[in-house]
Amino acid sequence: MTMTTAINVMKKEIQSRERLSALLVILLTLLALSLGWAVKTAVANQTRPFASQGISAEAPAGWLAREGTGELVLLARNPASLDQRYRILLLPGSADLTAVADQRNQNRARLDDTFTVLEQTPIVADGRDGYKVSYALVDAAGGSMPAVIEGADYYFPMSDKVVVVSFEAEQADYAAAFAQFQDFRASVAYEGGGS
Amino acid sequence: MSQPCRICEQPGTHKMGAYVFCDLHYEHVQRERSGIWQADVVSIALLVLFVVVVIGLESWLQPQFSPGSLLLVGVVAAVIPSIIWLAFFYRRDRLEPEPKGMVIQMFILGGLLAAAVGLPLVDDVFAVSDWLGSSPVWAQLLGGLLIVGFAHEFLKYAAVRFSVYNSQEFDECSDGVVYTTAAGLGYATVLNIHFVVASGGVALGTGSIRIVLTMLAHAAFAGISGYFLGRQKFEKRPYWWMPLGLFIAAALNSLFFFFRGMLSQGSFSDFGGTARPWIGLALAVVLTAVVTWFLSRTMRRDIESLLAAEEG
Repeated sequence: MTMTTAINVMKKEIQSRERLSALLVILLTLLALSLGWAVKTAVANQTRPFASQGISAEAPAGWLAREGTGELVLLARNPASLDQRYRILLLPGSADLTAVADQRNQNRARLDDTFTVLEQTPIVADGRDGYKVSYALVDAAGGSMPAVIEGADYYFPMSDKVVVVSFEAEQADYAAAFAQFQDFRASVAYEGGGS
Repeated sequence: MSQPCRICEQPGTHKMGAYVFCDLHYEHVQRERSGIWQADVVSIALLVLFVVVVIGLESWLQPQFSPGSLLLVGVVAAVIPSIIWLAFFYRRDRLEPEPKGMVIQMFILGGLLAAAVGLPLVDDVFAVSDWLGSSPVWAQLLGGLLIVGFAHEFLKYAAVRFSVYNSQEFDECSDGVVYTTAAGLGYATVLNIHFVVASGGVALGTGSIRIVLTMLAHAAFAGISGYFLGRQKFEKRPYWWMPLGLFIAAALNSLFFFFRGMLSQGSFSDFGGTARPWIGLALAVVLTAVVTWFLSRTMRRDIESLLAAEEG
C-alpha cells in the first residue's frame, strides 16, 4: 500500500467514525424530542378530580381551580391564559331550561353592556338533554387591552335544580381550546346525569 | 511516521493518543489555556457588575419610558452583555492568537440557529410556555430535559460540529470549549432579545438579571459539549462519547432552569408569589464558575495523561 493510499484509508476511517458519532447525536436528539412529545401529550391529558355539592368533575391538572360556595360549584382557570376558564354553577330552577337560561342571560346583560347572546338552542351533549347558550362579551378589566371573550353555557337538569357548565376563552383561542373543554364537560357527573 | 497530522494532513512527527500530529499542531494540542479559567472569572464579574450598574441606574434615575423606548432599551440591554464578553475575549486572547473572525462566526451561527430553529421548535411546535411551568414536577424535569435541553444543546453543538470542527482552526483541545461557548452566547443573546420583544419590554433591573443569567447558563452548558467535542477530535473516543456529552449538557440545562424557577420565583400560590431573581443569578454565576474551573482542570489532566502515556 502506498503512503497516499494509507493516508486516505486513515482519513476515511476517522471521517467514518466521526460521522457515525454525529449521526448518533442526531438520532439521540430526535428520540429525545419524540419522548418529549409523549410527555407533552401526557400532561395535556392529565386531570384533577373535584367534587362539591353533589357534583364531580375532572379539571386539567395544571389549571388554577377552586371549589366555590353558593351557586358556584367549581371555577378553573388556565394559568397560561387566565381568560380561559371553566365554571360549574348549580342554580335553583325548574325543568324549563329555556326559562332558566333566559333569566340568567337577562341578569348578565343588565350587569354587562357588552354581553351578547349569539345563539341559544336545545342540544344533546355527552348523552344528556340540555340547552346551550353561545355568547360574547368584552373583557376590559385589569387595565390591559380589552379582549373579546367567547363563551358557551350548557344547562342540564338535576332534580329540582339546574347544572350550568360554562366555558370562556379569548375569541382567538376559543376554537382550539374547545376540544379540551368538551372532555371537561363530559367528566361532569351528578345524580341523574352522571357521565 | 507514515500517518498524516490529524489537523493539517502534513506528515506527522509526534504521536499522542490514537492520532499523529505535525510539530506545529503537536505544540498546539498540548497547549494549556490556563488563561481561560481566570479570564472567564473576570468576564463573570463584569457581567454581574453590569447588572448592579443597571439596577443602580434604574433606582437612582427612575426613568419613565414609553412602550417603544422601553422595548428599544430592553433590546440594547439584551445585547450589551454579549458585547462585554466578546470584547473581553478579544483582549485576553491577544497573546494566544485565535481566529477572532471564527469566534464571531460561531456567535452569529448560534444566534441564527436559535432564531430559525430553537425558538420555533420549543415555543411553537412544543408550545412549552403553555404547559411546562404548570405541570407536575416529573413532567417539568422530563420535558425540560427531552425538549428544551436537547433542542438547545443540540443546536449549539451542531453550530460547531458542522462548521469549524473539521477546519484547521480547531487545533487545540480547548477550541471545543471556546467555539461552543461563543455559539452558546450567540444563542442566549437571541433568546434574550426574543424575551424582551415578546414581553413588550421589561423592567430594567429584573430584566438585566434574567439576561445575564441566561447568558451565563447557556455558555456553561455549551462549554460542556465543547469539552466532549474537543476530546473527540484529538483522541479516539468511543461512539457513545459525544451522545453522552450532549446528554450531560441537556440534563444540566433542565436541572438548572428547574431549580432556578423553584428558588428564584419563591413559593407559588394560585393568587400570588414572591419573586427572588437574585437567587437565579447567583445560581448561574456559581454554575458557570464551577463548570469553567472543572473543564479547565479536566483538560489539563487529559493532556498530562496523554503525554505521560506517550513517554511511557
